[in-house]
Amino acid sequence: MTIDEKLAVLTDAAKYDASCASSGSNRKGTRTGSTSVSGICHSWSSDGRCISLLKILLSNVCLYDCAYCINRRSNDLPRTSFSVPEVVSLTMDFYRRNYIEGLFLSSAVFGPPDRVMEQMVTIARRLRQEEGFGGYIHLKAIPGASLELMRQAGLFADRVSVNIELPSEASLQQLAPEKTKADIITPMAFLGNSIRDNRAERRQNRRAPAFAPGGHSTQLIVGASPESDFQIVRLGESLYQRFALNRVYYSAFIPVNRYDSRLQQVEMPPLLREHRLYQADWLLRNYGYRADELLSEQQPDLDVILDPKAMWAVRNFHVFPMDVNRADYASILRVPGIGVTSARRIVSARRFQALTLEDLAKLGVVLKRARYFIVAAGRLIDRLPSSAEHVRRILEKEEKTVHAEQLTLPF
Amino acid sequence: MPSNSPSRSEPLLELCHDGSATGCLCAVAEAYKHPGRKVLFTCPDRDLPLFADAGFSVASDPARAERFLNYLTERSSSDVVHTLLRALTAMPEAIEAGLLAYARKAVLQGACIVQAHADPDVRFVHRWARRVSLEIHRFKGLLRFQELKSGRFLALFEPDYDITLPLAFHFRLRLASQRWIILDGRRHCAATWNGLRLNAEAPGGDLLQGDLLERCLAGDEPSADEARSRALWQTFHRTVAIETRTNPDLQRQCMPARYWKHLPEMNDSSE
Ligand code: SF4
Repeated sequence: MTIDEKLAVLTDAAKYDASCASSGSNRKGTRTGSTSVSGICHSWSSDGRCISLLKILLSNVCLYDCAYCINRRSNDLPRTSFSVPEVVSLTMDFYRRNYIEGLFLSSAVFGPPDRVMEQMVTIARRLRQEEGFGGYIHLKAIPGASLELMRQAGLFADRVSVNIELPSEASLQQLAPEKTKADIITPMAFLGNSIRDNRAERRQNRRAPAFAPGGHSTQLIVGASPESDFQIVRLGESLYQRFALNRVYYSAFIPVNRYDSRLQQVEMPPLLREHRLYQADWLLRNYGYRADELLSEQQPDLDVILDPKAMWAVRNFHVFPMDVNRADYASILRVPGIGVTSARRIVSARRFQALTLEDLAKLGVVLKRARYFIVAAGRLIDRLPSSAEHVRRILEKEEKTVHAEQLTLPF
Repeated sequence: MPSNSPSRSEPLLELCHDGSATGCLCAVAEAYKHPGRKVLFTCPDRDLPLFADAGFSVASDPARAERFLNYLTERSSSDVVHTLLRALTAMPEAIEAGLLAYARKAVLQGACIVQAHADPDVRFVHRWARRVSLEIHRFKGLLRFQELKSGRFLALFEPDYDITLPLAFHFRLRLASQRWIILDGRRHCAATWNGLRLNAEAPGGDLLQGDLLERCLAGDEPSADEARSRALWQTFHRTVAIETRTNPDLQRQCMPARYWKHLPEMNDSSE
């Protein structure tokens, strides 16, 4: 195969991994490259996703047979592998032209996990030591590889992560029988602890070598197995708490292996569900919500029509209306139509003057949403709705017009 | 539109500048010294010739502009001045009056002025500063370099605002070991990096339109590897998209079509 053909095969095989942001690290190379804390998008592909890293597999030759994966050994596909120098020179060629922010390298399991992982670490080491490369490197660890290799990976990469793959151990056993929970959780815990320790050490001594300064993340597939949103959001919450993860990525299951009856049979990838999970995750990380405030055993799934924040507001209608000139920051954040930026602006701007409803629009508040939940300077926008049910009907009507459009998209 | 409060007794102050960023700052500095006067700013490029030579012409003096900025930094903060300079880069209509009002409030209220989001004068400056910052951020990703035979790299782009210099500062760190040229094809200005020093070529002077590219290239042309790397990138870009999630509207929204001309991936002949 030519290098162009290999690139096509190994990009195609890597494209379903969504966890490829390039943020969280601040590094400067000895010769070429630097990373930027907030990450930079270099292009957008025709599916509208940001491209920042050269996202490829080292190899798509796989000994395993995970039910949901296109690269499983039972599929008949062109198979190939990059050599170490090939990946190094592709990365450098792209980086010098500012096509990319760095490398995202994952691999199928073509041999013993340690052998696969070792090659990945070698690529990262060569980029750093031989090329003086300071761009972003994200290595996706191979489940079952040794902790010593995880440690080396952390020394050269900005981010090392292990995919949790499925939301429960039962599903993992069913759909990815060659991987065990321990294969995934052990390195994840190791990475979480090492990153935490390293941060503490570097606060004392800024010269101490960094260990995965961009942190670690994980990805799970939504819709291939039967778990509820409540189970998934609670899992996400506990992953953040236990392993200090930077991000949990949710990836709508793309039904690639329809012949496998162990999988949930879906026509289309559940994109709306994925979107709602990201919104709920966002509320956990940035808005101070807890999983059990959003969902429960009785109401285990996120709303199809309302976003999770609106859903929470409707269910807790008794805490509104909120006075924007008085309420504290955390409460203001809970008003639908007010985001982190506008909440901050409200809190700082009201020190200069009492805010009126007109001012709020200028601060970026979406009044169309917020109007049912706020008062400003003693004024309401119009009559407050009488009940939670009433608000729900109004909001749903607005949402439906949006959805009618979305559902006609050619997915 | 921001304005000063007019005074009854004193006549209108008319200040004319040359339309450059420095000229504009000097005019604002001059106006700053006349609190309470109503000021009319003009510049020949922008305004009708009828009004162009009316009033007092303010010289474009970099030292004076710098003194004014230092004064503002002392009285408010470097953040305030940074924001003001970003807005100035956009050179929107009525920028002078906007900067003047912003500067006065910054001196009066100090560094916290950047938080007065409900104030119309502050919003005016912040809005333009944000647009310029957004474009700088976008081009940190969207600028494309091609390798030339001489080993230098050339990046050609046509931004909405004059942002070559801030980008050059970014790439001076990022592509430190390469020699490169960043060339704004719209304003005909460039920044070059030889591995040690950054040089900026301002527009105007004796450069003729279109000459700058030739002069920068001096007979240089794309390297032997260039076409191959470009093709590999196009392959990657084409393949990484997931067909079942195709969403060209979103792609266009994130990466406006006016930037496509200089992106190899958006000029892929094999598609
Ligand atoms: S290990 Fe499983 S998920 Fe990974 S490439 Fe092989 S089959 Fe796919």
